[in-house]
Amino acid sequence: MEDLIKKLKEEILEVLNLEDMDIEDIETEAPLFNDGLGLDSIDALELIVLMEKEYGIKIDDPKKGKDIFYSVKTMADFITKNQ
Amino acid sequence: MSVYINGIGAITPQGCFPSKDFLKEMNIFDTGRMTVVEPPYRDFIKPVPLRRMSKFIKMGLTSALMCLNNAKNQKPDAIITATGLGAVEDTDKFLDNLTDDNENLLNPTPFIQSTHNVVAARIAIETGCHDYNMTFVHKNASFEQGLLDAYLKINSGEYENILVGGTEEITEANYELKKNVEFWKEGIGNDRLLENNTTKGTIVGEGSVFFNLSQVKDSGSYAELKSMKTLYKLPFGLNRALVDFLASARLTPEDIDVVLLGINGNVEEDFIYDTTNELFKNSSLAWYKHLCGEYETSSAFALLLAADILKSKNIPEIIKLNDNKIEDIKNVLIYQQRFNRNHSFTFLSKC
Amino acid sequence: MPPKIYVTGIGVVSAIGLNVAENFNSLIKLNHGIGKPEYLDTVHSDTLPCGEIKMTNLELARLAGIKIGTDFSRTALLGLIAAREAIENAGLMNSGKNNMGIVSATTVGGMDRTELLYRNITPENRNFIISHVCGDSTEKIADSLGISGFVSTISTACSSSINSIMSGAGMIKNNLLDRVIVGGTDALAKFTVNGFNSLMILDKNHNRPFDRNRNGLNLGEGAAYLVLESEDAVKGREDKILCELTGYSNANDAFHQTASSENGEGAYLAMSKALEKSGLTIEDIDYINVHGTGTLNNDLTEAIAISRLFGNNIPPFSSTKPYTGHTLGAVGATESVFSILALQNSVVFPNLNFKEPMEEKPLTPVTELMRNVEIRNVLSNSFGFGGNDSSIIFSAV
Repeated sequence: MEDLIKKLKEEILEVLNLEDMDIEDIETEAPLFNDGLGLDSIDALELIVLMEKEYGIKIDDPKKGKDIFYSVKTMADFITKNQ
Repeated sequence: MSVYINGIGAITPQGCFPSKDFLKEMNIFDTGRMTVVEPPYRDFIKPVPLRRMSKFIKMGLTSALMCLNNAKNQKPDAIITATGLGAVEDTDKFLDNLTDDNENLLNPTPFIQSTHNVVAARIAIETGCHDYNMTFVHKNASFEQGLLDAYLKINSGEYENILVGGTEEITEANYELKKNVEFWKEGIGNDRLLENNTTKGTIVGEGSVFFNLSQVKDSGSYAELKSMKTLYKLPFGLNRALVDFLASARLTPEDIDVVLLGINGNVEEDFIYDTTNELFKNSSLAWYKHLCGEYETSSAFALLLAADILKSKNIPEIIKLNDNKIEDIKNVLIYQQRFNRNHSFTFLSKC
Repeated sequence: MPPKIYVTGIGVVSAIGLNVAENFNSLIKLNHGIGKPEYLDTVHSDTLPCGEIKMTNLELARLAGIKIGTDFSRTALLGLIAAREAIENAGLMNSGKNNMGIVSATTVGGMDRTELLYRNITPENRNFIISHVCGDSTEKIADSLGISGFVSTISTACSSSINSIMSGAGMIKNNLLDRVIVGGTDALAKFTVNGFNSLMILDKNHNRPFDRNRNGLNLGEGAAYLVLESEDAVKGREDKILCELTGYSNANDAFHQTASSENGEGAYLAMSKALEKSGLTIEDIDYINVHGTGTLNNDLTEAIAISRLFGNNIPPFSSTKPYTGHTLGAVGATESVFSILALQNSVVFPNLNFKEPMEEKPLTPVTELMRNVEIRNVLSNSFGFGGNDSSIIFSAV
């Protein structure tokens, strides 16, 4: 789980072009969107692509992204459950 | 209503404008391409939106904000942008992904940012301007058509001030693609473009220049924009078109002190400008494409020079094509075309 | 008093017809043009239905009267077919070109050819590098129709061709042109199909605007043009007047590059400013041809904006995108032509595929063809990426 979380953070930084940040800047359980990192609906779509490309998990309904991408922790849980 | 240029912001191969060193020395490029000197974008754009932006958007938005700063204006009444090619980098990126990944699992960001109106949209978000927002994309007439739109809207009293500008980016891939259809002078510096005007081709450029036009003249005003016109083709030749254009502004060629020409060192195009030597024999003839390169909205760069000439009452030596001395610079004309199509005429006066 | 602007010619090509008559016939017979793309070469052809025009480029070239082997993109071919119909409809094919201009719109220009030659340039296809830029299709149309003065191109995503109509109208209002051909054209391309697919807003079924279960849009292709003339220019040819262009406006949502704001601010401003310009009141609007793409976001915010403006007096409205698909740079002009057809024929075209109203804002569009309705004024909306929102009003003369 620890490894997955670290890997996810690295991937998030890369696909969302968060160049100025380190993985330490992303708190595992903090919200990624809105008040958290300030991500938006386009980022959610980018994360959907990431999930399928890197983890083979297809998310058909973008509305589901809200819960799955709430935090790095929820993403990791979702991956573990669905892989 | 009169229309004044009250602010300018530019990112160009010669650096940013306004800055006190602008054109003090000419930046030389000899790779066939002139690229802009980029400012620290972070000083203008917040990190969250900045992280996704291509050079096209960064240049466009930043030069627009520089322009508003220069005009001491927070928020324009309307926004008009021009670009002949649009968001080249994002378009290519999406095409690359589409080709490489066989239309599967594509990142949406480059597609979203590939629309031609992306700069205008970004400026609207940044300035909170909910009003008129337009993007003209007609090759080398794009900027003048945007400028005309802005002029008409201020002139009629519909808007008090409008932000209008032209943005173009050149990427490595697009330059390579362009080589298939047009010749570009590689290995010849932009400082030697005119000496090499007996051969085909010119030098590619890029840049973003914005203007704040206003119906109110203030202490910072550069010039008064008087009239402009684009003609796709010239039915009766250039001489007649120039005389007619000036006549519509109740002027004759003798009234014009400075003529800025779109000469680019290409033997297949520069002869088109020959007639101006005779028509404007007492005027100071000048050119600008050795400073910014050839690109679709480079006439925005020409307007920057024209406005600055009128405000500073000085014609930079590096743009002069003849030695005619002008005592009092009152009227400036810009004329440019590409391959005898999309001829544009812009006339401005001191204010 | 600024001069009046009349529409004297219309032309359209879409998935439901190759000219105005065919389009009208499909509209009243409820024949849609959405289905599996056969000519667009995409891996998504089985899953993503489109409003494709069932002709090869060669067949389109023949229809456009173009010699084979020229460098016309599909976008330019479609544009020429519709623009020629419009100019013929106005009776101006052989005269009146003196002070006539063209303002055309397109979102991806010659992309339909660019994506085929990308990384695969040969001596045969290199001309299509030049035809990629948006301005190229406009020039091809201008050259073919003998227009040489003011030739202009606009690109503001999905609102492009309402904006080209506005821009041309402005040229007439300012006495810079007597006549102007305005409209837009866009061919289907892998670029746009994949682009909208990456945004996850393409419906795998037929699009269902304003429906509770709507799930995105279908892309389409086509072109549509109008001939606008000043009061003076049309003197002696008054029989050609189809309607008057009375109002138009563009506003910006200034919220997000792709999503629209919750209260539909841009859409509201566009509609209310167009209304103000026309001097009409909300009671005067007899039909709204809504943007209604079928995406969750657009239809909800458009419904909110319409409710904000019209309150409880919302006139009959429908989206015609279930017929044609979303034709991007052509859509505003296409739906302007449809609006004019509604005006001329006293009909309201139904919003196909609608079953249940949206939960959040339950507005019910017209679901069956309405005949013999008196229509004096029609409002048409087009909203695009970058929060670019435009509305236009056509009025009976």
